[in-house]
Parts: sequence; structure tokens; C-alpha cells
Amino acid sequence: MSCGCASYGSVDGVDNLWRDVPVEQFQKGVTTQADVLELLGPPSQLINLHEETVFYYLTARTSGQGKIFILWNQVSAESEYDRAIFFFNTAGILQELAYSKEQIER
Amino acid sequence: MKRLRPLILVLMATGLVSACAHLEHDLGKPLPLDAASSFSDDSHYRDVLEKLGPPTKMSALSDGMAFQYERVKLTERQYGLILPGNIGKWIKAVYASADADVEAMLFIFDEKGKLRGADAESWSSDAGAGFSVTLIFSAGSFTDTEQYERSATQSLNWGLALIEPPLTALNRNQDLESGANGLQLTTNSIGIGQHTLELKK
Repeated sequence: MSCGCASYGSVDGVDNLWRDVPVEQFQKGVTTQADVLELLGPPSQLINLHEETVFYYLTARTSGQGKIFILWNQVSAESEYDRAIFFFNTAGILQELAYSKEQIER
Repeated sequence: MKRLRPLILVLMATGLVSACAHLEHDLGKPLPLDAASSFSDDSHYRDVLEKLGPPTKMSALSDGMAFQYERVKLTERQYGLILPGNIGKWIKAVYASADADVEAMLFIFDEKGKLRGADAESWSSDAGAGFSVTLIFSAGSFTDTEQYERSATQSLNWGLALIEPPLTALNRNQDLESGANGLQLTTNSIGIGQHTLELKK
């Protein structure tokens, strides 16, 4: 009955290096923008919040599979997102940070 | 879609529906929508980050900032119809219809990072329909769901702005994807609101 099947996948964005760095390694009031850049590389987005600057890191992975039958075909895909965000004050010192609950294995 | 169900049932009963296909695309994990009401007026944006993690989108506002969390699930159904004659052995006509299940949460903060307002909603909408004639063994999308599936990393393509059509380029300073001018839902049409200035269809 089975006529064919397929699977596919792709990864977008930056390498999610933050999954190798425990959150505790970044200290609010101490860690600088330079420290974060050295550990994680350039962010996906750099956002200007007037009084703060945000480094926004994003990795997106899409994977899917298809089953081709004679009378019934099915294609399913899933996109997963892994994010990290860092807020710095005007002096470039870390104020807040967070990793997404959803994560992509490295 | 509901209006077409009787017609599809009639076609199936008369043997004119030759095959069906089901396509799904999950864009992100389901959101904890109840969490939006668990924050108080004294909540700081760090509380939201701790509970929900980084937002899907964020933007600076003239007097603060906004976080937006989104999740979309697309479901497309296809019905193959038998074409008359020998051509029907190799070619099928396909009607497709898609729905989008959307979840969204929005948090607005003042200049001190205190929560000013929050809300969560979920809804389903008709994501479009299409008709195609194709090879009998194929399964691809025939509906236009591009606005739902735009890559979350599209903002990395900022250099492409240099070669955009003039009206789009002139509207760049009000871009709702830059993080500096506000937010819009991913599910928005490309030709409404702020984008009407770009004269897109």
C-alpha cells in the first residue's frame, strides 16, 4: 500500500551556544556585553530600548515527514525554537537574562 | 470549510473523490495562556521572562516596551478528484483548504519595566483555499499560508532592504519587524494597517 515516504529538516539562525553555558555563569550587575559576545558570538538581533540594549539569540529548527499512499497522503512538520535574551544598561552591564523553556539539542 | 462538507460527502458517495491528504505544520509549542492573568500590576518584565522565557517578538515603545508570544498550528486538507478518461490515471485535480489555530500573548511595560497590561487569546481562522491539477502521487501544499510560516529569523535578512521596491523601502523607518516601532501578529496580512503605505495587495 505504501508508495513512498520522505523526511526533511532545516536549521535557521545562530548556533545555540548558550545551551553549553549555565545561566549562573552570567551575573547580573557584573557580566558585560563583551563577555556575552565572547561566549555566544553575535546575536540574531540587537534591539535598542532607549535606556537598555537587548541581545536576542534565536535558533529555529524545522523537521517534517511525509507518507504517500494511494488513497491517503500525510505530511507533518514541526518548527522548534530555542531562544536566549540579555538586557544591558547604558553602561553595557547585564541587567536581566533568560533562556527559553523550549530548547533544541546541540 | 463547513459549507463544503456536504459537497465533499456527495462527491465521496458518488466515487468522484479519489484520494485525500492531510498536512500539518506546528510552529512552536502551545503557550500557557492562563499565565497572562497570573501577573499583577507590580510585576516586572523579569517576572515574565522567568515564567515564559524570551518572547517571540519584542519592541521598544516611546514609553516602555512590549513582549509578544505567538504559536500557530496550520492544518490543510486536500481532496483529490477523478478526471475523466485515461488522463485520470495519472493526473488528479485537488481542492485544498487550510485552517490556522493561533495563540498569542501580549505584555506591555512602562519605562521602569513594570507591567502596564497583558492579555492572551486563542482563535481559529480560515487560512485559505486552493485548487490544483497535479500528478497522482504527490502531496504538497496548495494553499497560501506564507504569512503564518514566515521564518522567525527573517529579520536577519536586513540587507535585503536595500533592494526592496521603493514604497517598501520608504516605509522601512516604520517597520513593525525591526523591534523599534511596535509589533504585529505573524498572522497579519501583508497589506493592512501600517503596510497599506506599501500598496501591497
